Amino acid sequence: MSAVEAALSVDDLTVTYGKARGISGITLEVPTGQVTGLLGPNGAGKTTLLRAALDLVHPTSGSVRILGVDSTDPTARAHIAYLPGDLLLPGRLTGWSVLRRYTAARGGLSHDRVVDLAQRLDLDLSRPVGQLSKGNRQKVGLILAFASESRLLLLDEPTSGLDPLLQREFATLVRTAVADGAGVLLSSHVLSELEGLADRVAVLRDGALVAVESITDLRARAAAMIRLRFASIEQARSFASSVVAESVDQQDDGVTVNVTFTGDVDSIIKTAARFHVTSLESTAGELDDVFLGFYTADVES
Amino acid sequence: MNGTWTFFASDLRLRTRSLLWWCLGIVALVVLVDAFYPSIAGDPALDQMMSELPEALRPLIGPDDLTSPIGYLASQLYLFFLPTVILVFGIGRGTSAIAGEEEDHTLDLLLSGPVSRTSLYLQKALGVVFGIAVLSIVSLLPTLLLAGPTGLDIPIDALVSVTVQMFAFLLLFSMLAMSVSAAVGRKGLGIAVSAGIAFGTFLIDGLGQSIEWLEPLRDLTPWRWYDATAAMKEGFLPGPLAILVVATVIVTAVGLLVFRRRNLRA
Repeated sequence: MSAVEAALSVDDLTVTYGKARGISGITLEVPTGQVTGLLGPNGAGKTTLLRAALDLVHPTSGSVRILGVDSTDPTARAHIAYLPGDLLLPGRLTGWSVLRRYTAARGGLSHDRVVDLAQRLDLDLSRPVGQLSKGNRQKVGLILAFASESRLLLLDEPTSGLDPLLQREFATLVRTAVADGAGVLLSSHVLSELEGLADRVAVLRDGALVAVESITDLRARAAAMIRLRFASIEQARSFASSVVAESVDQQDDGVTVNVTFTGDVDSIIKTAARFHVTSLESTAGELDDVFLGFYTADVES
Repeated sequence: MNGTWTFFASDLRLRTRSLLWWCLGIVALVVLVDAFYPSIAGDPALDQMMSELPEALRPLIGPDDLTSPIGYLASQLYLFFLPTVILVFGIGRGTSAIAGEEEDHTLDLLLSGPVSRTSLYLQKALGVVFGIAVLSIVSLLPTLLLAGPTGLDIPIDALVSVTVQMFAFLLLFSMLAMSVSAAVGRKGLGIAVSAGIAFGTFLIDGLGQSIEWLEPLRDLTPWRWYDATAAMKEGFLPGPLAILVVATVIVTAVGLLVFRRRNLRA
């Protein structure tokens, strides 16, 4: 373990409840000063993991610690700000009353900071939240989460319902929090939402962790395609038979070869260099294909 | 830890208006019942009718002297009507305390701060106690203030002791509602269990006074220990009061223990 205590440290956590859903054997660290993405389709256990950190569901086995404090100790939650995925608020209360009610236990929020955030998000806190649009209610949730200046932010699909402008504002808020030393765990079911924000991505499937990787590494997993055209059919054929890649496909015209590969392109280029290449095109891999790859095929690692 | 009683205070603000409406309703109801007393006071026909009822039904209606101030108030107000109305409030408040927040998906946010489930539960319970206390106190004021014009001139300590007795009785069922619903996370079950037991035990207590084989079961019914008539005639009933209070504490504690341990629904 590192000298600096992780914002969130999940150790072999299993939560079993009800009949179906739960998580099993999850080990994950959310370091301070970083954004960790939590990726998975609906029902994969993202919300359960976040709620276990808040002790809303208890570990069946394993443990969760927040800045070194066990999650079963209520004081651990002094450091956590939580934005539920399905944010429902008492409709009669104004934005201000909502903020008061849900932050009273931690001693309230800094008034200046709330006013500043409300201005940035263009939100009127004096209106009853029941009269607000879904996007504006989500802004109340964002203020709840970001005004507390917590060390650990648990954000469950926070950008759903936000327009692109606000998504950008959200990204700024996350980066500022991280720069101030917070650890952020950000769940999403779309990888592209995490791109540009998350330093690492933890991928959940059926309640188990299938991968924890940096976005760069994930991108390297994306199968890219390169298309080479050769001077003659013979050249194309002998290239196709000597190159090593995931799939090699000689096209009907005889001179074109499509090569699909992951990782380094180096060996393909070096093999091709032995022949007369007339043209070359390459297509980058799609990140979301990698994501889907975790769920469709059985990934062997 | 900051703000130990913050949820109690926050709930109080949230519910002040509804509590005021309830107060008005209770006052109106008691005034209405009180106002009818002069028209039947001293009318022997009513007592006559009572004595002609089948013996088994009589205890369900009230004491034998329906036309005396205490007999009237016991039978028309305290025996069934008033506690039932306040119980609607108590069961509603009790089930919305925890299970209501859970069903509204707001419990997660309440518990996301540095507060223990025990603290939240106890603060919510205190809110229920407070609401019932306010309604109980409010309910004795009209009778007290209108004693002159209505002729319901009964000693103030009789009113106070029946109100205290009723308060403890209502608290038991309200906390039962809160406890059961918090233990399972569903308002419906809390309402069904507490309302069902309240009504069932009312029948057992009433019928048990004349049906021999039901008689031993009477000791298990909270109505037996509420005993409005005795409270008005004899003053404070420390024994029955203690039974109600102890039962309330047990019921509340069991709910808390289950609530602390279980997984909350998202």
